[in-house]
Amino acid sequence: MVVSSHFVNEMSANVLSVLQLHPDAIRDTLVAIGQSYLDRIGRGSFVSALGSRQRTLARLRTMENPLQNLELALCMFVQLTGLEVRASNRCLIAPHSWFLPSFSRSNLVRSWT
Amino acid sequence: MKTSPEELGLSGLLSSAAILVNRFFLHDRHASHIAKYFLRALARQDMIMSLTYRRRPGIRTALWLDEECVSSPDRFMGWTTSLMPLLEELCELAEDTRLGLRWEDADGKEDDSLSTGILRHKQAIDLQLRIEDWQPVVTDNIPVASKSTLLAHATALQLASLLYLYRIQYPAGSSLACDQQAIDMGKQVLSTLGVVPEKLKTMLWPALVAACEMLHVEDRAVALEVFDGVYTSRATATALAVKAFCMERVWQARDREQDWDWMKLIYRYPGCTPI
Repeated sequence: MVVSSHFVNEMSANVLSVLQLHPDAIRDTLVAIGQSYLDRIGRGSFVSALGSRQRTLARLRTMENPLQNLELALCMFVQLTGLEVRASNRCLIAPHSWFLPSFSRSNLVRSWT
Repeated sequence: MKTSPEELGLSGLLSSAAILVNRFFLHDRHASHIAKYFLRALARQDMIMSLTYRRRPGIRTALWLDEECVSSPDRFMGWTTSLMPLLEELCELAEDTRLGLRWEDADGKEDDSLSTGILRHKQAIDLQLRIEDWQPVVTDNIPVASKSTLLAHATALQLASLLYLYRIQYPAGSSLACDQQAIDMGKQVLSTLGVVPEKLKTMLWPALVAACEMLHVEDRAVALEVFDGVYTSRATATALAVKAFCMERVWQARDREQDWDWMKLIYRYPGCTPI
């Protein structure tokens, strides 16, 4: 996500500060991203990465007031986009055997109104 | 209700985030430092997707652009934060051109299509001059090795924006002279990107804009090397998808003498997300 590896530590620090306040939420997406990397070298399970992704989406949908907790909501969004950028991989390798469950914006936004 | 491709995947996530953010700032709230940090990460992606699909960005630059992020290199945009308002204007011009909107004067009166064309051309020239004049605010507080990466990143984005602006005015295939001009501009972008592979992290969009113009085998080989470099540096699926789009859709269409305008093909073959 960052433009140069010079910034990786800073990214981690900011994610960590949200992680301290919301360990469950951030753990899910971090685990998912980690698994997508392990999956690439044949050592992880992408299915569980998907589970984490679904949980994070559900969390966003059911957040009581995302406007009151913008840091957490945006952090989850950044992690989900990171996962999306990595994950569609699987669709390319085996386009017929495996589909990334599509995420629908309307479902998510409807829950905020 | 059928879900449109725009609502799925990355586009869907970014537009949802944009709705949330716009709602937040609507109430004149103040975002924390950390919230703004994540916001910039999303804003960069939103800008790239907006350019790619020729539409206005969902997250306006005014929401996150402040003194601080212009005076130090940004984690997501490097030294290009001050270029973003110009890219936002570029998105506006691209959307209006795509929709074929008539120019409206201050009273909301529509001009005829001839004067709309002239006015839009003037607007494009004006924007072109400002992008050409733009210079990254180079700061000293980072290691030398990162400096050259950030400088290459900034130059590549600037050159690719100029090529993109050129193609909005003179679409792919409009004349041999224009296509040649675009090839020359694209080669400049690719040579800027010809740095070591691990430094190409967030340069997929400039790579796409430039690669689509390449015609000769040897030039296309250079473009493929850049795509492979991006993949080496980040191992993202998007790098593979963009490379495949360029080879199988754009280059193939051009070789078969079909419409090879990537700005249109991207709507026909969704899934190419140069992020």
